[in-house]
Amino acid sequence: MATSTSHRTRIERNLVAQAQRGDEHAFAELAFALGDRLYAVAHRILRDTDLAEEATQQAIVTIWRELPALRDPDRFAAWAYRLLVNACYRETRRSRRFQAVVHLIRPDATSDDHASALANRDELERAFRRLTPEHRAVLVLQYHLEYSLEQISNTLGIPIGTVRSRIHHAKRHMRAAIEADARQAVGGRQA
Amino acid sequence: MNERELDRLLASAVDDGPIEVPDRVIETALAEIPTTPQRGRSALPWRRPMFKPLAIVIATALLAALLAIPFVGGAIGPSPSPTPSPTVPLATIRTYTTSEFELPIAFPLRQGAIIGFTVDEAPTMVTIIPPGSSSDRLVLMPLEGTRVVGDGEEGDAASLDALVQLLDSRPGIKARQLRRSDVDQPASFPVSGSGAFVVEVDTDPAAAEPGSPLLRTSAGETIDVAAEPWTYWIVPASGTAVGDLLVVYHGSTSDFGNYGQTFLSLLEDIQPVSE
Repeated sequence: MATSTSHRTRIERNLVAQAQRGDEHAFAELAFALGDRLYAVAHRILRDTDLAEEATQQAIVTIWRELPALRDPDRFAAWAYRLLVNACYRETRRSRRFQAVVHLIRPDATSDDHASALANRDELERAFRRLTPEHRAVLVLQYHLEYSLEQISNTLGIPIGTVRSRIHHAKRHMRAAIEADARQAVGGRQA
Repeated sequence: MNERELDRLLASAVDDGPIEVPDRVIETALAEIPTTPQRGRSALPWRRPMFKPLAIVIATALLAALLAIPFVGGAIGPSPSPTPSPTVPLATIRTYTTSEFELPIAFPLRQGAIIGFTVDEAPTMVTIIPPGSSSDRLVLMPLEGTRVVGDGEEGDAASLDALVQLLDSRPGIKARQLRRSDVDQPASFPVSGSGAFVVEVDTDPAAAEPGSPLLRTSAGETIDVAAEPWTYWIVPASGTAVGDLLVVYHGSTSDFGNYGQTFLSLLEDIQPVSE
């Protein structure tokens, strides 16, 4: 497994070096190798297929354009994720969909099991969508990519303190939203 | 709900989603590659490629603001003139560079130009607003006079204040953080006097209902701003924009601290190399 990962890393590094010199075929190979990872992160931040596809495309083009300026090919993945996250931010601004996320439509709870209500995918999804793109990004990097605070800091280009603050507030908002839904569910049952 | 349960829910939330990108997405992007020139193989590689556009915006705005200050009565440095010339010949072109970003900037800045800029990634968003013109920008305002409505982070207000102080520390610049009370009459929202600090969010003008606690969105839904303090508060600023410096910011206010430091370091870093 380690050998496989190391081999993949070595291939990726070679592709990066070739693409930095303007090799379009090498970059195409790199893009296909990287595409799934970029798209998965974009979709988890944007929660929208069309936006995620657009952000992924933008990121790939930007990666190509800026690639010669990457000094350390070993940092390619983190650097690419940073471009992707910025593309996600641009998509949110362009689409303005985040500004349109407003009051939740809270369905009546049908289960007495509080835990099952919390686990409801729709509730969780709605709560997550209420977060700002910046908050979503740190959570996706932490929970999906399992990045450390330092890795998130390096990837996003923000201080660790800011990463910590964003995670703290993102989790606080998620907790508040989920608990509000749960309270409403309990209230609905009592009414 | 304990921390472990919240972690489990968050992990579940981010686990849910596709893991494979459709090939057409990659193919569409790759189709643009042959017509997209690569940057950085020039003589001046960017040391911080991700930061470059922001640097352009900030540096451009700073230089423009510095050059504009004499036109509006400010003064820079220890060389005051009892009767500062109100004009600078259009032919005067100064070229500056920054050692940090190796960024050359040239200006023919015409007389009386009013500077507006956005802190964003797109350098094209730098705007110079002609004197006497109006701005139809949307402005993101702090709520209740003290709370910054950005992403709701506790440090926002302090970060904003810190940036205002940074701006204020520069000779000839007076920063003013606009508050909601400034826009009781949004139709004549003034960005005037000795400088202004404006935070802008890019959104639909039709979504704003100035003065209302509710924000109606383009989708016809409403946001109760008080109940959702991390929601953007949007006020149309259609009044005349007159000021030394108009700062328009897109993004999380939590980053103001970083930008403020960059702002200051760039200001100190910029040196004229030719005149």
